[in-house]
Amino acid sequence: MPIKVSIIEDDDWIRENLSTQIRQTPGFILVKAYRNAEDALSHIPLELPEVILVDINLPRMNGIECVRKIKQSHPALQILMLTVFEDSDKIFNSLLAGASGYLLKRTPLGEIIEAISNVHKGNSPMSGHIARKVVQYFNLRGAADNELEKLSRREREVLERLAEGIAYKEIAHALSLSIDTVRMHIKGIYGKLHVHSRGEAVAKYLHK
Amino acid sequence: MQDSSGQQWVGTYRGVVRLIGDEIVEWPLHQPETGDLIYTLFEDSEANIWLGGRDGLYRLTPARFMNFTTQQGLAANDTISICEDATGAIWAASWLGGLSRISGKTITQIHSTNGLTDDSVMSLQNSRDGGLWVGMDLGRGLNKLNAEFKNIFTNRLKLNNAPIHTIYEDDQGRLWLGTGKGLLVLENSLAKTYATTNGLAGDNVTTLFEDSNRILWVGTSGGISRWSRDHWLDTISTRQGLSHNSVSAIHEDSKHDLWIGTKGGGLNRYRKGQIKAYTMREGLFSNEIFDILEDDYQTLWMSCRKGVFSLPRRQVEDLDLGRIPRLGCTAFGREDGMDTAQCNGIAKPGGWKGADGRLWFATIRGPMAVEPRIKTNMLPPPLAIEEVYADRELLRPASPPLETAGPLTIPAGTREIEIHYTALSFQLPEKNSFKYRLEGIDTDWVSAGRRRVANYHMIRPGNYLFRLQACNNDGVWSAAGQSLPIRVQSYFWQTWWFNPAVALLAGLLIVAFYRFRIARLREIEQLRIQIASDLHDDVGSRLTKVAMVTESLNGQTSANNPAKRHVENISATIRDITLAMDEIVWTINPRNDTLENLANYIFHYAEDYFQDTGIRCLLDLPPELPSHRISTRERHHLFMAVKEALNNILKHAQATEARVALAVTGDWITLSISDNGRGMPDSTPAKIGNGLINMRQRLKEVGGQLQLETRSGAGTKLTLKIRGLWR
Repeated sequence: MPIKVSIIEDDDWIRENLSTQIRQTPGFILVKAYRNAEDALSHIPLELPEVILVDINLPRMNGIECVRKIKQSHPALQILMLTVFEDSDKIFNSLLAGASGYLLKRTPLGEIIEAISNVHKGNSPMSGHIARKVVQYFNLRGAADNELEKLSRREREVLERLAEGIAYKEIAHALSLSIDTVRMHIKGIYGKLHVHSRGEAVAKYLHK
Repeated sequence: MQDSSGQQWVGTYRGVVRLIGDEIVEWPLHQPETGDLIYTLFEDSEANIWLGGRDGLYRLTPARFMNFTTQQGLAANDTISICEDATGAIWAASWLGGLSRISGKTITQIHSTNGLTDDSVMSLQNSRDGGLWVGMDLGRGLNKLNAEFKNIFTNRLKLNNAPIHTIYEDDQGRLWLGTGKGLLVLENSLAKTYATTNGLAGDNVTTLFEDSNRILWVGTSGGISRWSRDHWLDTISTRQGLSHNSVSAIHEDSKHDLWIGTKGGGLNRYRKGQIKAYTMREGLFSNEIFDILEDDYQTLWMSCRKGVFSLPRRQVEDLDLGRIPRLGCTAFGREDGMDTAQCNGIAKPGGWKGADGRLWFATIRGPMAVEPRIKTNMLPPPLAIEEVYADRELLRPASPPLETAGPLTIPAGTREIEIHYTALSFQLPEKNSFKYRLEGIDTDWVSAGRRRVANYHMIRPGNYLFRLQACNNDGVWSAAGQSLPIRVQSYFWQTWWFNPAVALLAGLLIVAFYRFRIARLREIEQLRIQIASDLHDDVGSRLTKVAMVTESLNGQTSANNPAKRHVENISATIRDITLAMDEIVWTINPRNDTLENLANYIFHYAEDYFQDTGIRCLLDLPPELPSHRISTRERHHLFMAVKEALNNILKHAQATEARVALAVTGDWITLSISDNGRGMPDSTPAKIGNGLINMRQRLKEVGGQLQLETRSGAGTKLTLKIRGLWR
């Protein structure tokens, strides 16, 4: 089944280029490309893509806010952020808002395609430094969380190892898990992050 | 005009005319020949007479002293003794110059040519039968002049060339002659001599005085011998309490106290056998006394070499009772109108109280009459501040008297203040003396003497009170309550509120400056954020575009295309530029000045750096980081050092594992980068060596440290330490 992808990007050239590349890649369908969040929000309920690439810097409503809105109405949609630079704060905030990963705009096409496939499968990547931020985030929240929001023991173990820069393979080996289980835990972590995307807590964090 | 003593004054064309009793006395003024036209007359409160004339203003002060000189017809000026005869005429003996008889305005001279046997006249005395005894100097004997001024004494006297200092004829007809070589007594042509050889106190007899008890006091250079009736009574000398043995004058007052004047010991009072001495220490004007006279007002008048001085008897009583600390003698000299101050004291009588109450003294410029009746100037002088100068500039001209003067304001910054003052006492203004005191500066009264200026330097701003006292020519002091308030203005920097105001202002300025600085820093921060943002958005997206285009191009260029190499080159360069931009944006953004941000950035970088290199990278980051503030400079230098270190590991260490760890203890942030490579031998290639130096330098720049632990074959560990600031 070809994957349905949408793009929200205000820069014309980048949007065109990306669109063309995705169209030309077998297994992928470009549903629509929008130049701003407002257009996307009004059309996505109709178009229903499976993966959306969202530019962090959008005119008027910004990318992070857009992600939150999409996720509220369509929690199953997978979102990948597009960013020029590795702006960790913004990136992390978009994760909190509901994104499952991010891509640098200059990333070679091949990697973009791979990332889309992964996220479609449910394998949200978590790099070491994202993991570190997540650890810091959860530590900051401390006892304020209820059961649903707290990380499980296994999730914590995976997270901490990720933060140390250990590869999936080795985490799996160390914890006597399969790689898929590791990936599942990571998904769980993201899920807990997204939970926090609702309510004032996120707003507070976003405005840090 | 009638003056306060009832006399009439009339202004005339030549001067002024005064009626004294029945006598009209003309007072010629200015030019004695032509006089002056007098328009107006006025008597002031001090009994001075002021005359307004065509040629000027005249002041007539009641004259106390009058003398006769050769100008008036005196035989010779140097008068050695004086006495008044029964007719009221004044006889004056001039030393080696004969006699002068003054009767009213007529002076008759008697010399050896017309009556005297000798001209070396010395002492005088009235005889009981109306004649005049005249004692001679140099042993020339004694004369007795009759009514026709002819000598009728012919006895030969054994005098041994001794001068006759003093003559006394008692009621028994005995004639006592005090000479320089003893006492000679003539009784019925029999002469008896007394000297120290037969019990006299001293050989030089200076004075003879019979008191109311009929005791004859013989004053000598060795004390006093007293004779009573027909025998010697006793001796009074220093052994009996006399202050000095050289006795020169004896006087009995109305209370029968005897006053003894000495040459060197001042005044002694003999009262019922008790002697008390008064010298200059007690306030007496002179310790050397020639003659003592007493006026009709219980005041002793004494002559000495320095002049004539008066001492009210009351003063002595007050001193005895302790009411006053010192005797207050009033001394008279040339400024009082005395022609000379110097009196004579060799022969007697050196002074005589005239029948009219005037006191006569023998001076070297003729016989002098003192009018004791001139009432002392009892008026305390009114005071006046005249001009005041501030720094030599006239601040206030002479103005009404002190009582009506308002407060004086002295401008700020004045260095020198001169206050001219005076007393409005004109009887003898030269004798007015002053005392002043500036309360707030002077701790006590300043005796200015005759000076009429008070000087002050560098007076600090404030309020002061200038007080003034003056005494008139007769020693009467003004009341102590005259004062002038003075206010010295301050420059505004001298006022009480200036210093605190300045301090406050300085404080406010500092606060303002600090605020300004903060605002500036904030401005800069905003700018940085703006730049970062612009770079990020603008340049960043363009770079991205270029990168994407190049990627596209790369993809479309086949491997055998000669351009492929160039395209790959461009592609690689774009990647490098992008990485560099990334770093710049990170560095420049002030939001990243936190420990957390730095740590995340370093770890992310390390992770990416070793990806796909075959070197396993382990990261050790504490889950919670304190919110330290790291400045941009610190971030930059530290990151550079880290990059260098990682580069070394990748290129040279030949390691399989790298480890980056971060720890925070208090202020210190410790970052350690280690590997399990071959370590650094001592012979390290220069490139690495330089790199290390560079790293060390970077750390030092930001106040940090770098430590290196390495062993050949056992890996390398670099420890970087910097100090963070608590937010």
